[in-house]
Amino acid sequence: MPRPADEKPARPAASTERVTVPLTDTNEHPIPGQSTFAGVRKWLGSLRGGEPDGGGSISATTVREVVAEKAALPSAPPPVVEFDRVTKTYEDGYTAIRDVTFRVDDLPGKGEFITILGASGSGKSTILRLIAGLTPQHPATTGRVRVYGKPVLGPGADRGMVFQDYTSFDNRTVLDNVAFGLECQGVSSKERLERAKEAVEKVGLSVTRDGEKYPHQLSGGMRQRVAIARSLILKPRILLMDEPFGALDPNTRLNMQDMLVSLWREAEATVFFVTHSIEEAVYLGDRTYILSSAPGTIVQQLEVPPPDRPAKIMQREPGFLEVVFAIRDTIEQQDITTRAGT
Amino acid sequence: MSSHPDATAVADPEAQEASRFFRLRTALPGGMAHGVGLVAAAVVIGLWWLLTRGATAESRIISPVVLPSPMEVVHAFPTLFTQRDLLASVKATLARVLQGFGLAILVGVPLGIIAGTNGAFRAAATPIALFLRNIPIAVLIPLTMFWFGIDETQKVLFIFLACVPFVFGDAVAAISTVPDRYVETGQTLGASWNQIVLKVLIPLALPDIYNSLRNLFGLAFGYIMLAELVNAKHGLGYMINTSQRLGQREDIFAILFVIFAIALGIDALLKFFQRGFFPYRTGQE
Repeated sequence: MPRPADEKPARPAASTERVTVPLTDTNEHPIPGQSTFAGVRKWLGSLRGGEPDGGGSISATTVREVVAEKAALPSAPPPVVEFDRVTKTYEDGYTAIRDVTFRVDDLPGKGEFITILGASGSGKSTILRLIAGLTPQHPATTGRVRVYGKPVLGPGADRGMVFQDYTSFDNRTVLDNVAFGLECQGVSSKERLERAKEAVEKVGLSVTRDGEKYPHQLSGGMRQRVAIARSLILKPRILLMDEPFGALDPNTRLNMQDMLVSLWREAEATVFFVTHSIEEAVYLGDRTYILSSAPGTIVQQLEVPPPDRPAKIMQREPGFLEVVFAIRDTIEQQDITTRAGT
Repeated sequence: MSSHPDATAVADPEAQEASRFFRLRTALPGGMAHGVGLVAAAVVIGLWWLLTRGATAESRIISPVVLPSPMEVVHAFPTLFTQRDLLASVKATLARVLQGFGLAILVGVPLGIIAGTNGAFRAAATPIALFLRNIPIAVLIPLTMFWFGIDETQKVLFIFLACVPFVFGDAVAAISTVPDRYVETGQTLGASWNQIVLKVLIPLALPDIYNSLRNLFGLAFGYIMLAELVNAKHGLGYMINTSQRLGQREDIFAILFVIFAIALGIDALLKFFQRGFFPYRTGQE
């Protein structure tokens, strides 16, 4: 992780813009690249206008007030995940994230797909690991991390996690890997085998061909399928994915994206997906958080078009690419201002 | 890459074949590796023969007092069997090594696993293990005699004490080198502390533990001379000790080859079991 060369005073608080991109006609499968991205275009226009505070953006304080107001309503269900001015500073003084505030609401029958974008060292993984309750990121130095209204105390099966590194247990076959969590819960061997078979098929592996294979006999994509099946079999309400497709070749990556979208729709889980790839973030996400680097803080929340067409087709559309390029510009700008030390 | 000036030379099949010997960190294919090993051994034996040839001691480059000739060593074997009961010694030594080393495994591996998983236990055990590792091995002879007398118990426990700190250290290392990611994966899949130890750490560390035990077994063999220094009736170490006193140099070399053969056999056996125990690791060994 790159550390700042010198201790800089806190940067002037970046205003958290929340830009909504309304989608009028997603259900009708419009002509690709035409009306679908109209809302995004409007946002792009406001960006290009050079008014960082223009359009529908609101300041961080306003977001916080709105959050507080919503939380105060008695009947509202607690948000799935809520960060309230979360800062993480390590013992050596390095601050990974500063004042990160966001909330993801509980949408009945549908979990949101949140993608988190940012340069290396922007604290993307820190946010995931705080939700997961994994040390040393957990616990936060200041601020509150709440999952379903309760503070996070440690890791648990309700928040599944898929890492970029391949973490299939070498000593277990595909089926035994997938059944690991059920085994820990004490589910009978017959039932867990049954359910593991089902989960293996769901992620596009074959029980007869791959079920008895050991991880060293699998490709990277297959290993990540195993990792996803292993998490989803426990029906987590939150799935945390830390650059799971980062080490895969482009073609496998697109296939995995499509598979993930269909699994997510079925699982109805809230997904947090960290990635370096802007295309991946825009394609997969309902919402994309853009982080500034060192210390990371959310500088923008975008609502992006949902993945309603195959990755290969949608990621080629001009409207889609326009969004990608605009985000790239935003990140670059961010990078320049960070390096300039302003 | 293709612009490299040697590109054409490498494309030549003969040169490619030759370059195999000089590639960085590339293992030779199985058959070729064995071949190279045999050639090297033959060269050493050839040199040995060359340096010790000659009918009389004066005509040799190296005196038989320093190094007997290969044929003299070969001729020593029959008398080793008939007059000095080599088989009884092999049996006695194997029994001592297996018991002592087996005990070291039974004690060292579980303690190492506990220390590898529990910081407090590890902190407590580290200075003790460090002390034991650095004891000059010969000191264990008088000490084990004070404690356990001069019979078999002393010899077995000598090997046990000599090996157990190393077995312990390797087990700790094997557990601690399991990447954190696996532990974190287990945690996010709902595994408890005990389940992580039993279902994640131990299974993932076991191939490494087994592998290091295979190497340490050689260490145990190295201590037999010291273990059999006092009051032994049989044993390969005892035989070397007496040969030394009687000045039978060819017997010493003959026994060294017996030890080599036994070590080779045991290692092959352990490798064979390794493949059966850890099918998922065979590709990496």
